[in-house]
Amino acid sequence: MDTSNHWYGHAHILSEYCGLPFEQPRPIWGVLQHGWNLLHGFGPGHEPPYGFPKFVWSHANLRRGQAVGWRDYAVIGAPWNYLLELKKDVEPVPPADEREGTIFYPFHTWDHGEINGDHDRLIAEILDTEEGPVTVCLYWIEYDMPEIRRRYEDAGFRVICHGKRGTLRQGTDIRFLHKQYAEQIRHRRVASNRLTTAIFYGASVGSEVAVYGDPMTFADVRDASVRDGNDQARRLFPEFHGVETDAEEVRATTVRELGLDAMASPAELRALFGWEITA
Amino acid sequence: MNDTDTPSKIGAYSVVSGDMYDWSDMVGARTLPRGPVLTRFAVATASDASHLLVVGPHDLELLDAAIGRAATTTVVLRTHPDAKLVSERYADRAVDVVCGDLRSWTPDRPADAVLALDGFGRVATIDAAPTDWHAIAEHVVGLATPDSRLAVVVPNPASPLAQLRTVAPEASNEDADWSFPVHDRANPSSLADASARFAGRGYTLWPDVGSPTLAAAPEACSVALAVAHGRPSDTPTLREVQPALGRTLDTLGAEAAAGGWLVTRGLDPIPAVVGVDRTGDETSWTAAERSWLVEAMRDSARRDASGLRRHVRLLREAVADAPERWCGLQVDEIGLDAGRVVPVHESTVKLGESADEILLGLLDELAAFICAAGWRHPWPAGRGRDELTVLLAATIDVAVTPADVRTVRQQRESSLASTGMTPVVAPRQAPQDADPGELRRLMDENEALQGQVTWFKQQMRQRQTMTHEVRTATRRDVAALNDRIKELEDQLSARQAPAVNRVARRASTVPGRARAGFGRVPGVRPAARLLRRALRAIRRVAGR
Repeated sequence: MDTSNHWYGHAHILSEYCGLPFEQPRPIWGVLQHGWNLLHGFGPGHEPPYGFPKFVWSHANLRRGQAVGWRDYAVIGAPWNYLLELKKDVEPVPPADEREGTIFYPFHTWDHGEINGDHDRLIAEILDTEEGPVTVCLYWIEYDMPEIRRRYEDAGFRVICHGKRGTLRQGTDIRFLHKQYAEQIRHRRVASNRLTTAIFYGASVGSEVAVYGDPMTFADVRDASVRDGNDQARRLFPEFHGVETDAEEVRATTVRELGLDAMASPAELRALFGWEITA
Repeated sequence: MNDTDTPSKIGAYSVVSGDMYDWSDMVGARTLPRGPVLTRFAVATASDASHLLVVGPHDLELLDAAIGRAATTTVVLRTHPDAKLVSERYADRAVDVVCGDLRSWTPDRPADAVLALDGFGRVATIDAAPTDWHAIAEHVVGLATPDSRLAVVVPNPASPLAQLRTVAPEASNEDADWSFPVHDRANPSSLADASARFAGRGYTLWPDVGSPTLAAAPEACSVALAVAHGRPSDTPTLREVQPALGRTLDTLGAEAAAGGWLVTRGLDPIPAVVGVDRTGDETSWTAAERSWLVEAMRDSARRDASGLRRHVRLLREAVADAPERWCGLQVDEIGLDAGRVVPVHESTVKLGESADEILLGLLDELAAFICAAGWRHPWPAGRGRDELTVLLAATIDVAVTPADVRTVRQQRESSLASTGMTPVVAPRQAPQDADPGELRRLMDENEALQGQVTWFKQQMRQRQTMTHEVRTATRRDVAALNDRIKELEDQLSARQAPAVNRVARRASTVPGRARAGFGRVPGVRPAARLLRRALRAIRRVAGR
C-alpha cells in the first residue's frame, strides 16, 4: 500500500465505511489523493507508479491528470465525505444556533519545506475580523514550536492541533479527521489565510467560510513543482476569498471539489481497492 | 507593417482566471496545425489588421509569418509555459500574451482579425467543467468586430481518417501524444454548420487539420483531389485508407469526408483550391472527377477483368502520350475526367525515365494497394505484389518479370526518398526500422514494473518475518505446555492426592486453550492428546 493512503486516517475511514475494521485497513490497490490541490490529485513529485489506480476527489483532478498523460483514474470523492456519512447518525452536525466562534487554520509549513510569513500580522487581522471565540488550529510542526504557538495563545486564542499525518505509517493520528470534524461542527465559521482543504471541509459541514489575511509564501519555491498556487487559487475560486462569502456559491464549488457528488458505495470501494471479502 | 513604429515590450504576459501550470499545449503535446496551406490562410487573415487575435496555441513558424502582418496582436494561451514561450519569442514586437481561459479575457478593443487554426479544443481551462464548441464560438464572436476577418479550423470527427485514428492501438504510458478521447457533441456536424456560425465560407481540409496539404472549397474538391490528399505521409498505418475514403466520398461527398474544415471570412481572394504537392511545393491542381486508383481497385474487387484492362490501357496511353506529365506522380494522384486519365497536378519530380518505366512503377503501386489495402483475395491472383504487377502489365500485353518489377520499384523508392516523398504503401517494418524510442519506453516501463515487483517482495518479506515471529512464539508456548504436562505427570507419579486435585482443576483448561490458539501448530495435537490422557489419569487418581 502507498503509505500516503494512511495519512489522516483516510484508509481507516474508508475501511470502516466498507464494513471492515477501522484500526487495520487492508492494503489499497492504488493511491488515494490525500489533500485538496490544484494539481492532478497528487503532490509535487508524487508520481504513482504505472498501473496503480489513482483515486482522486474530483473530476477536475482527473482532467488535470489526463492532460499530462496519466491514466488509471477513478473519481471517488474525498475520504472526508465518507466520514460525514459515518457521522451523520452518530454525531450529526448541530444546528447553526448551537455553533459559535471561528476556527482558523493558518497556512503551514510541511515536512519538506518552510514558509515565510508574519504571524503577528495575521493574528492582528484575525482579531480585527472575527467576533466571538477563536480557535486556531496549527499544523503539528508549528504546534510543536513554542515561539509560534505562544503568539496565538497570548492573543487569547484557543490553540489546538488535529494531530500528525505520519510518515511511512509511523506516528499517524488515525483519528485526525475525526478530531477535525468534531472541531469544525462546533464552530460557526471556518477560516484560513489560504484556500486549503480545511476550508472545503468547513463548507461541507455548513460552516461559513472565509479566506483572508497574509497568505504567507513558501520559502523554497525551487521550481515549478513546488510553486505557490495562491494567486491561481484566487483567480479560480474567487467565491472563497474574502471575509464574507456567498454560501450558495461556496457550497456548489465544494460539492465539485470534494467530490461530494462522486462518492462510491461500500461495494464499489471494496471492488476498486481490491478489498473484496474472500473468506 | 513597420516594426520599428510599434512600441516594444518586455518578455512578460498577463494572467486571467483559468491559467494552467505544469503542462504545455505547444511543447511535447499533440502536434499543432502547421504547414504552408494553413500559413497562407494565416497570412491572409493577419495582413493589415489593426488588432489580430490569435486564439489558442499555434505553431511558432506559422505565428512568425502572421504576427508581423498586423499592427498589434493578442495571443491568448491557457498554459503558463506556452505564454512564457510566446511572450519571450515576441518580446520586441507589438504582441500581448494573455494566459488563462479565453472566456475570462475581455479585450480593451475588439479584434478585427481572428486566427483560430487549432480550433477551440485547447482554449478553455481544464480546471473547470468542460465547455463545448458553441460556447467558445459564441465568445469568440463577441471578441471581434462584426465584419472582422476570420480563419477558424474545425475538426471533422466523422472523417474516415479521424475514425481510424481513434481505433489506433493502445498508447504506451509514456506516449505524450496520448490524450483522453473527449467527444464534443456541440462540434459542428458539417462545414455548412460551422460556416453559418461565423457567416463565413468554408474549405475542406485534407488529409487532416493537423497538417493539411490541401484546402479546397467543397464545390472544387473532387474525389480525385480528396484521394490524392487522403494519405497522411507521417502515419504509415493509415496509408491504406483509400478504399474507405472512396466509398465515403461517393456516399457523403467531399465535405463530409474531409479531415476538417476551415471557415474563413473577409479574406482577400484566395483560390478555391490551395495545396502543396508531396514535396511541399505549391502547385496547380486539376479537379478531376474520379480517382483512377479507386476505380481500378473496384474493378479488381468485383473481378471485372475487362474493366481493369480498360483502366490500365487508358493509363498506358496517357503515359505514352506525355511521359513528362506522369514521371513525378504516384498512383493515387491520377484522376479520371470524362473518360480520360489526367494527372491531378503538375510535378517537376522525376521518379522514372521512360514511359515504360513510369507505367510499370505506377502498376506496381496499384498492385501494392490491391495487396495491402484490405482486399482479402487480391485479384488478379498472384503470389504477391511482384507477380500481381506482372499480371497487371500482361493485361495490356506488356511482358515483364518480377525482377524487372523489383528493379523499377527500387529506383522509384530511391527517387522518392531523395525528394522527401514516401512510398504509397509502407513496407512491413523490418527489424532495422525498430524505433530506439520505443525500446527506451519499454525499458522504462520494465523498470517501473520491476519497482512494483520490489515493492511486493518487500511486503512479502515483512509478512514472512511476521509469520516467522508468530510461529516462533507459538512453538515457545507449546514447549511450555509440554513442560507443564511433564511436570503434572511427575506430580501424578508421586501420588500426591490433594495436590493432584488442584492440578487437575488448573490443567483442565489447557486443552481448550491449546485448541483455540494453537490447533494448527505442529506438535500441538499430540501434546493435547497426551494432556487428555494425563487428565484422565488424574481424575482416576482423584476418584479413588
